[in-house]
Amino acid sequence: MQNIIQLTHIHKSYTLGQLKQPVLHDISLTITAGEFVAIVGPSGNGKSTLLNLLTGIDRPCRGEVVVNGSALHRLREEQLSIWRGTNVGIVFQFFQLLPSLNLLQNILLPMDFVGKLPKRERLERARYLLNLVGLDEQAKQLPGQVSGGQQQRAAIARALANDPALIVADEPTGNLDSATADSVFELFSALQRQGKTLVMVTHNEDLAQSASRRIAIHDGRIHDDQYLSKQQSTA
Amino acid sequence: MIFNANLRQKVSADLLAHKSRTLLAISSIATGLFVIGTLLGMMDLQLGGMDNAHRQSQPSHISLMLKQDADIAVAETVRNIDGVANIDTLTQITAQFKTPGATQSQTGTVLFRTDYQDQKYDRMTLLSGSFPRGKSIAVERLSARFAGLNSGDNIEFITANGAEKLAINGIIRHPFVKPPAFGGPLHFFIAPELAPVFGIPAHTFRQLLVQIKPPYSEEKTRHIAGEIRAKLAASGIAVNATLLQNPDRHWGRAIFSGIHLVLTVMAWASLALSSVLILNTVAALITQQTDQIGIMKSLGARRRTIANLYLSEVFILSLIALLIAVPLSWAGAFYSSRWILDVFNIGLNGFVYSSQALYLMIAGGLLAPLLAALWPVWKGASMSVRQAIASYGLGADFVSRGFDRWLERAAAALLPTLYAVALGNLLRRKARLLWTQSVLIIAGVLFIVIMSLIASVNLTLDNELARSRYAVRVGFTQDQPAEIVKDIVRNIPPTAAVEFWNRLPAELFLHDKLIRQSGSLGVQMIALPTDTSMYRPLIVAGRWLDPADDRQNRLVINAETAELNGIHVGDTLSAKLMQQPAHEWQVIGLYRWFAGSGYAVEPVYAPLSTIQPGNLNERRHSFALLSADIHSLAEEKTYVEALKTAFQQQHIKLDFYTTLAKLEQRQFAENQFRPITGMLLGLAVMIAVVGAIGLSGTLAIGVLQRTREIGVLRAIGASSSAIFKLFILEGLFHGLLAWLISIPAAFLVAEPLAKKLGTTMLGIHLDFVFSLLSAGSWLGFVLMLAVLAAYLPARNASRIAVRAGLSY
Repeated sequence: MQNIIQLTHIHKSYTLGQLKQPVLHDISLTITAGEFVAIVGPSGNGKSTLLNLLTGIDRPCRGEVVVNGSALHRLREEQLSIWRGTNVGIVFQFFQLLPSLNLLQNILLPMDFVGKLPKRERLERARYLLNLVGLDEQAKQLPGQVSGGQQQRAAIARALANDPALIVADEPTGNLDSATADSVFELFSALQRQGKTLVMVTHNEDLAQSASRRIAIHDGRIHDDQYLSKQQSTA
Repeated sequence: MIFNANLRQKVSADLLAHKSRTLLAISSIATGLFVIGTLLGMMDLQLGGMDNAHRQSQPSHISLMLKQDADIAVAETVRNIDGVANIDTLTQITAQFKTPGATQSQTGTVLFRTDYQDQKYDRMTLLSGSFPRGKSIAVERLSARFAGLNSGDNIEFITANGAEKLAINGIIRHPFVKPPAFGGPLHFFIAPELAPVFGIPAHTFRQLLVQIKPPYSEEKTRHIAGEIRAKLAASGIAVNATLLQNPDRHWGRAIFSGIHLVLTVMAWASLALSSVLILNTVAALITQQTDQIGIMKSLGARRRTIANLYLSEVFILSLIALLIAVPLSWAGAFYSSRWILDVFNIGLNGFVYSSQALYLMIAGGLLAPLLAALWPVWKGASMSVRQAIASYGLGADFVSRGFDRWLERAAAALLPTLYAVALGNLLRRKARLLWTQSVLIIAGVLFIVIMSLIASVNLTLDNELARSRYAVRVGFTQDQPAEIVKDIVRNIPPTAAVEFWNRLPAELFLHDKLIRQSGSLGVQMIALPTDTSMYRPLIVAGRWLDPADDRQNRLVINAETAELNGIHVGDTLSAKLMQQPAHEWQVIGLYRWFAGSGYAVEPVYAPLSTIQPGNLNERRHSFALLSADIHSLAEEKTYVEALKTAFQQQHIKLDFYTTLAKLEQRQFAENQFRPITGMLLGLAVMIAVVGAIGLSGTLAIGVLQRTREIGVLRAIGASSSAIFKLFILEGLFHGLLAWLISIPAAFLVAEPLAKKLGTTMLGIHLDFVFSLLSAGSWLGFVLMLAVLAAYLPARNASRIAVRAGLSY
């Protein structure tokens, strides 16, 4: 299989006041297309920073980030926005749907930004995605009018809007009850079966165990990296 | 309000941590306060300055402009009338003159007082040089500035002795001159030694100034003025015009009433707007600091402590804004008042400020922001610890209902998603939307009303011109024989026809009581042929004169005067003409006078054939009305010059004030109205700019409040241009919504408001027309303002990096 993510000798630190705070130390990582990767670890150890590097939300201090063939560390902010729209779908912990748009419009929005599909096909696809996540009846509801689980499923549908090869989720079930979290996880598994690559940060060890690969981050370093379906550890 | 050192530290840290937000809040309050301070200060300084200048000139209560020179002994008889405190006299004549370097002569006013050092009423003030002495003259301040004249310049006058060069040796302020820029003549002052040279007979006067014994009342003044006119008429002296003045209120106050109405609306709109911006800023601060509130509460902070903390921040912001706004508004009020008062020939000497405006600024500036902040602060302070510490993502509590929902559904169906986002954002904060819109709507309504006022002024002037079919009305200083006048004008092309009118000072009585006129300069009877082809006023009741009225005592009077005195068509009035006994006259019609109740002598129309048989000056006339095929101002000017020259050659003096050329008159009227309508238009534009500043502030706060949302949009692929477009669109929707609401609102209020402004400020009754063009141009203007207002916030929003947005 083809590598979709290639991190090479990544270093990242933040400056807090006069203090330089290292967050990631010399991370090198390769993720193959079609994998479902769960990143776990204690809070403040660099999981979200790693995710931000994969999506171009943040930049490394040193090292190279190549995702879906693009060297993100070389792209400008504006280029990164455009790249994200086409190549990656992001799912946030607090859903982050636009409150003034209904669920259907929230899904249409990334398609409008990217303009990959002709206009008439966007609505068709948005309805298809809502149906995929089981929200076709809530299409005209505002985010504030539906449950947290439904909002998260709408956020997943939004992440799929431009049919990106990579879906990145930051604590997607962190704000959901266990039953809803299970249904969201099912959705991710189904996406993986369809050939999508998924990278998910989670504190939920049960969910992490259900992914195809589990990477544990500790003190800014990869502490453990397991291919769970093959029960194989590379760390 | 300030507590311990740690909380003080938090207040200063909050203010310094987000400098752009702090600066935005300070500038919002300071802008509102500056506008209020400037406008209220302007109103105070203007009215105060005008009334002070008026009082200092020792205004006459009654000013009578006589038709001919009167012997000074007559004035002494007036002094003895019961109720008269004292009198003063002067003479104003028209004269031809040339300024240095000019090739053509022009008509000006020469004013003469016997002793400039002993002026009792309507005092003229020496500004530089000296009062006229011997052969040296003085020039009026506005005339000097308009014509670029200085002390030492020689003015060449056409006098009884021929051309005579007289040197200017002083600049004088006259309290009652029409500015030359508005069509008024240049004014010069001469000494007694020069009076014979200008044909002013010794010991005579042309204008009688009277003050009545205290206490002053308008009714008493009107009554005494009637007695004076009767006394003068008994001596064979006719009065062309009578001006009554309130000694404590400047005559220009009426003009300012409309302007001040607009200024007051603008001042309070600004305060309301800056309060909304404060509300938004505080709401943004609270939203951003909800977790901090939660932490402080979990540590034991009480609701009151939290509220005090944030109100202290608002107080500090307000105090800084006040310190910035006060000196700026002092300067704004002083310099703008000085400019406006200068138009009225009033100087503001030395820097002055309005203490009333200062107190209002302090009260409004400190109180309004605190009141505005109270609701979001209290709401924030009342949050539970659980609510405060939890975060539910982007506006999770946002739910729309009713009209919003309908609008959003419509937008979703009809508009691209980005437009729908912009529209949704517009509707998210109702209070913010309402206040921002209110200022833009007020500006839109005012703009359309003022443009409709201008269109109506033009229509009224056009209609009045259509009713006047003469090209030139020639007024004589003394009534002239018709045959001589006919001979003169017949040879001057393009004269087509001539008609003669007479004017006679008249006193009208209803049930033996002198009637009140709506015109402020008194009434005069205009006697004209019943089959006149030169003029037909707008008849609103009864009918106009016709040949059946020949030799009958029939009158057509001003409808407003009729209403003022309860006179109806068919009523009988008693009219006293000069030295004749009173006769009964029947009112057959009422006309509407476009000149309203401004400074004008009000005509009462009567058949010429009724007046002439009993008139001593039979076949002599006050006016010759000439029709001629004239199409341009240039043609008209040439024609008038030819007429003037021809009459001058025959030693017939024309009266500057009653000789009118139709097109020139229209231009003067436009010139006279333009500064006032221009000023109103300027104010409407200023309100719109205040609205735009408010809109900019609202959008800037929106950027702050939606920073995380911008981050999310970035994360799902929105480019900088998409974010920029989003905020520009939101601004455009604001402009479009304001425009949509302002059109029907303006349609409802335009007619009554324009008519009111027309009568109070311009002194004319308007034929109203709604300006559709202004509705269209306002759309363009408000959208342009909206784009300008949205530009900076949109640019700032488009520069927010995705990580910065998401971590907000």
